[in-house]
Amino acid sequence: MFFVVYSTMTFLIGSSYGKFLGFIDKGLSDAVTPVGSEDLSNVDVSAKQVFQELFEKQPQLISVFGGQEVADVLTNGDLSVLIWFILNLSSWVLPGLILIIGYDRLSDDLSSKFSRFVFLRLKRESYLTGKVLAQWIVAVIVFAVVFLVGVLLVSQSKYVEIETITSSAISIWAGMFVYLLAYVCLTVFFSVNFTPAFRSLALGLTILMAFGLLSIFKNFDKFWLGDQALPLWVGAPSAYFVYATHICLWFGLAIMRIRNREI
Amino acid sequence: MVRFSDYADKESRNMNAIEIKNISKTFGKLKAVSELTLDVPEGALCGLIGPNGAGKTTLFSLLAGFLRPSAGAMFVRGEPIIYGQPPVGKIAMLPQDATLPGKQSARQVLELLAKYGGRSGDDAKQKAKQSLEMVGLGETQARQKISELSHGQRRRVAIAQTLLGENEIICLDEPTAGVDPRAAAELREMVVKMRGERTIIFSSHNLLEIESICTHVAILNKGTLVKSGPLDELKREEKVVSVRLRTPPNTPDTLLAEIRQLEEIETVDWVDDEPMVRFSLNNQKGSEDAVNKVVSLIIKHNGVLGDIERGQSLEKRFLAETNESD
Repeated sequence: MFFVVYSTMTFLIGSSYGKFLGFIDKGLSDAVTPVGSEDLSNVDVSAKQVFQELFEKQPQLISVFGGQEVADVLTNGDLSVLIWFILNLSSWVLPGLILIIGYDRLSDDLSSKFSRFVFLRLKRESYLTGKVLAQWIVAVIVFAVVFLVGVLLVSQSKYVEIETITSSAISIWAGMFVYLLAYVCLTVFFSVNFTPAFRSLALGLTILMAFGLLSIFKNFDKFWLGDQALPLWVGAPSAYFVYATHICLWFGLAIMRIRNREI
Repeated sequence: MVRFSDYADKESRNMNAIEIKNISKTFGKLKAVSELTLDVPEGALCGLIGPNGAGKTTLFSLLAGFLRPSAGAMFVRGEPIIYGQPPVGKIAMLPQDATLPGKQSARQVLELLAKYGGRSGDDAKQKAKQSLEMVGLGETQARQKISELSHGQRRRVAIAQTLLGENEIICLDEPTAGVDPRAAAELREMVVKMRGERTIIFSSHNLLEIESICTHVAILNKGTLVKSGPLDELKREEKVVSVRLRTPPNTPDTLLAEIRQLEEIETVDWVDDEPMVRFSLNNQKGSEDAVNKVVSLIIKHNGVLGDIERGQSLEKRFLAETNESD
């Protein structure tokens, strides 16, 4: 079931990348005068120049692209603009998907009271930790497949250099592990607090959207997961700190809740 | 606040299988269980009875560590039950309204629960198989998804999970509720087989069921324990005596009037259908004398004695106890 959903997602994302790819690269090629439209192998160099010019002239756009760290890697050419695009899109899609695959992990057991059979035998904290790890592993595997398929799709494009993609992969995947864990902890927090399961899904999605909207306010974006996703994927220490804090916060609150919850 | 130190002196307590000491549980303003003290001896099959809302399920949930007690303490073979800690090796339970995951087979669920209980892969498989056999479920049902099983079969699977551990005290919260008469009888038979080997607490609204299988009984009402003890003693303790007559006296009204005058007698009735004189005593002390006096009066009035029966059915006892405390 999950794989059907994610395959569909991958196909849709891949198709949209493809379409957007042409659009962006056409725009980049037109914008950079020194490089001829036939010199497509140097498209990343072109992109570097575009970003340098862009951020010099319009520094307010730095935050739109994900902050200074992201702007730096884009202007250095360490991150393909297409990968940036994939990540940007993923940062909007993944939290909802993680919530969808995990919202019922605990709330179902709690509302059906199957948890009573379990808690006769297992420590509540162990059970919750197991659920977090299981969901994290599933998320990592599934999204790795989605991501790789997505990257393979865009790498078919003549505009993309595969070396730029592979060189940023380690940083991206280190960030991805932390990213997924943070949202898994948040999902488990919703799942342990709200029963029945549909309530945890509905409230979780509402809260995610609300936080997404709140990010438009200045300074809030420094603390919320969504706005720190791109810096995290390019290895910004401040983003790692924000994510680590969120992981500790949501996991800690979930543990406290399951300990104190009378079932 | 639960303080185990208040009860920590094991030697001052009898080492019963279960010792519940002044346990209370409140939900907001509602006192679901109030200062309840109950001992269940090792090997007993203890029936827990009480009207709806008496606190039976709350008591089970406290024993299993599902609920945090507001006061008091509980011990299983001298070891305290601590809220939130799994009572592995102490308590096995059939919770009343908990459901097993419908998408998995009976065997898969039991294997999983056996592993959660600390058994390794093969051991868990073996124990799951054994437990299913003990509740009368064969290979076919073991392979079926829980959702495909009948209500009675699901109940058996839920009971089978109480048998996954070793020497645990088994708490069965209304195991025969909603089960057809044949399945209920088989479940009772299964419980009876374990009587003496395992300590079992069995709650039910079916008092005949409790009377037929239990060795001990605890009657709850409004969160308090109104009576507990061995079933036989509890029934004998009854102050009601029934004297059946083979031949009725010449003048039953005169006989009743004379019996009423005895100081030990509280009430007396004439049951024409049997025929029978049924009387209740003021006090259990001296009951033999009182019965002898009544018998003398019956003979005096030319009645011919049949059986003398002390006490009443558990049902009548239950009704009396729960009415008195209303």
